[in-house]
Amino acid sequence: MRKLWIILILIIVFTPIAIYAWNDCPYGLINDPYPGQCPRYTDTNNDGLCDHSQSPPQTEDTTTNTTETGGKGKRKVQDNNQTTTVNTVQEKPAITTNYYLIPLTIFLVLLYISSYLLYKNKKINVRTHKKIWNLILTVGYLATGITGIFLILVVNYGIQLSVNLTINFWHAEFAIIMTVTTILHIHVYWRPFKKIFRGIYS
Amino acid sequence: MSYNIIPVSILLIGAYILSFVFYKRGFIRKVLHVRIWNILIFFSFLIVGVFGIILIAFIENGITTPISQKMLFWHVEVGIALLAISIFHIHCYWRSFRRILR
Repeated sequence: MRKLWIILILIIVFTPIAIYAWNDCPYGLINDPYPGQCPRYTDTNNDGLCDHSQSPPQTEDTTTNTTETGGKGKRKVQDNNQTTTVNTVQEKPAITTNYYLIPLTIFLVLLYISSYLLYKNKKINVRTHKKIWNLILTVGYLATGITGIFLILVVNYGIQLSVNLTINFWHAEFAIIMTVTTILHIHVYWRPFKKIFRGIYS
Repeated sequence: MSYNIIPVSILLIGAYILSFVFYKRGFIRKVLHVRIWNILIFFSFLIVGVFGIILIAFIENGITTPISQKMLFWHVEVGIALLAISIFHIHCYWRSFRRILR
């Protein structure tokens, strides 16, 4: 059991999901100030704005003879041996990360149907069926809650760790499990659930 | 932009203690106490879950909309509330919950 926990922690910590780029905020934020609104916050040019929410800076070397050299999205102007940095607008697609939303949902639903059929065919009793799904739900809530609190602290205090994006990924994965399992939990406890809104709950 | 983890948690813990004391002193029935928190957990789950799934779908497909950042903000704020209410939910159903772990 201890070995399993160590392996699980190692998988979570070392899953590489690091993407550093410009102007590709997945939430469409523009010039997001420090400490940012999500754990992707990164500021390589130290201007206090998230790189993902702004266009990449470009270097302008200026000398007496003004020369312009072309290149895709790059402009170099020479005048008086001065160097300045400017931002140019570049259209770039937003970051995409695969969170396996559909495969995970299908997997959980199929697992639930199997468990439900086993219970209906009296291969397992109703308590075992409920216990399995309550346990999955508890683990889902715990993991989503803990990773969520961690991410809030990262955002609120501007903590930059190499595991931020990994934790963000696992937060989304456990959240999918939590959401799907909550819907299944409502199905398991459908009668008491209906009574909440009927006003005859006892 | 920072998230209000402490104010939201304190507010909800205060409200839960109040509701629990009311039930213990007989001002409200246990049924009502449990129902209030079941309704709150249901609606907070709806907001967090729906916004979360929409955000995941947007990120998976590289879609950015003007409401994405607002959705992220409210997903987190209501998520804080959901976490607190989930703990209250376990407290309400403590006997059944203990049986899961047995």
